Amino acid sequence: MDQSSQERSALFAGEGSSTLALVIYLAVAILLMIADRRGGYLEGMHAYAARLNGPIYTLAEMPWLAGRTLREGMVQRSQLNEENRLLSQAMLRGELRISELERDLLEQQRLGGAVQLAERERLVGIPARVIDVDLDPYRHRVVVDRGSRHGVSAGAALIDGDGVVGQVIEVRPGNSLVMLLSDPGHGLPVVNARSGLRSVLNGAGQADRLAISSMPLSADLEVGDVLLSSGVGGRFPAGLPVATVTAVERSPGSAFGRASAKPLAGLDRVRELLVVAAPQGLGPWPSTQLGDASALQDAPSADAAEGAVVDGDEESSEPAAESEAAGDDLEADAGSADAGPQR
Amino acid sequence: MSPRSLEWRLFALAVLATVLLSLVRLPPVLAPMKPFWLGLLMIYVALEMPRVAGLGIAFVIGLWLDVLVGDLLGEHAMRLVILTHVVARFRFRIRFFPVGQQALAVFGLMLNDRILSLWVRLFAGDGWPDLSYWLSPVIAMMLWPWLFLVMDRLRMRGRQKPSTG
Repeated sequence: MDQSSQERSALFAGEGSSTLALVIYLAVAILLMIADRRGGYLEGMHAYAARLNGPIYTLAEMPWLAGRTLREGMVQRSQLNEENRLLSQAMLRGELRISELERDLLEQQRLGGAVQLAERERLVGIPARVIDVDLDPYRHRVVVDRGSRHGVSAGAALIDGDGVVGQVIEVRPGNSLVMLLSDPGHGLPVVNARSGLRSVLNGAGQADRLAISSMPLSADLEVGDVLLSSGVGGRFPAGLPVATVTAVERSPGSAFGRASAKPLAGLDRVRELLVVAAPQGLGPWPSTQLGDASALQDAPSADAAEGAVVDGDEESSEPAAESEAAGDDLEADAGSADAGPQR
Repeated sequence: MSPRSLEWRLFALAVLATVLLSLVRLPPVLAPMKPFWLGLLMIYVALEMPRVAGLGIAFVIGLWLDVLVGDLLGEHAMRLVILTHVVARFRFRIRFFPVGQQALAVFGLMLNDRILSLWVRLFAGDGWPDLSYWLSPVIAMMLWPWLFLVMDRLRMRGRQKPSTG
């Protein structure tokens, strides 16, 4: 039809399109997708290209920010006071809890068991905000406004007031890309707070449901149990609350049981977050699916990061330096504990 | 200024605008209705400004979108290339359709695009999306006449000054 039209310049601005060009472009696109998905070969390229994204995100966020500013300007003073009161109360409760924990820790140290574990694994929280851009409503990714410039590293955990939200999968200078717990590609090693049972919690593509897709029939798991991150694999801080179990299914016909859990954090409405810097020196988070699940099988002894203390309060003024220090300290043991299963 | 470079400028602006439109967050209720803005733009460009953009441009823009969205590198590139190619193939037919029929064609193209994207998702191991996933082509169809109108106006305005077509 139009193939024979007048103007035929370069491949780039060609009139119409030849089938050959189509085939070539498609082949390249498909190869790229496979390379990206399978090998994670393009990680570096991804991050490099994404450096240009900052200004675009800022522009795209503007209408939403303007709307929010407008709304905030109209909020009643009494409303603010009320909110302030509630927050102070919550903080006091938090302080109390911290002092309790510190007391327990001291006791433990006196008993001789925990060899300065607390000192070594003090983690740093970097406050971050979710950038108001919509990547794809059917994918469980968000962008936060903190990047390598602020001390964020790949693999860092994100928590909100209630629990784990997700994890940093790509760091850029001024922002980073986060995979939410609910992403089907996300697998997080967890431990049952009640029974100590370890398992892997997978995303199921829904904001309010996570799944344990295979566990032994005899596993000690009940509805209402709280799941904490177990720190197996070494990249994710241990002991952070993740989800509560909502259903356990053990059909006699199958060899494995399944369970569903509800994330404690509201994944679909998170705005203000804390980036909990992951122990450094363990290599990047592999983009392949269930990276941590394989670590779980290969390195059952990797308890190095157990019982970590989240400490966002005093150190947040100097996050970058602190995280360096924490990372260096950890490197020695955690590195030896699970050097194997990274790839 | 030559009409050619004017068209280029318009195209660049339109790409920027549509990229921003596709990134702007909508309230959760409206979020699934967001049309594939760049797809719509590429349909228009392949129909009315074929000298400006071919498969190569579609591919590059697609890659850029992939990086912006943090997705599988190549997914949007593939979708845009296919879209552009199909439109270019049937350009002379679609161009002379009345608006309503044209919108229907856009619906078909977008539906095809949705299926492609679903296909990629399934291959990549993601689950089936819910029904609202199929809303976006409908919205794209309803938006098409307006987009067409706006783009045509902009081009006319650009053309009037140098008086060439």
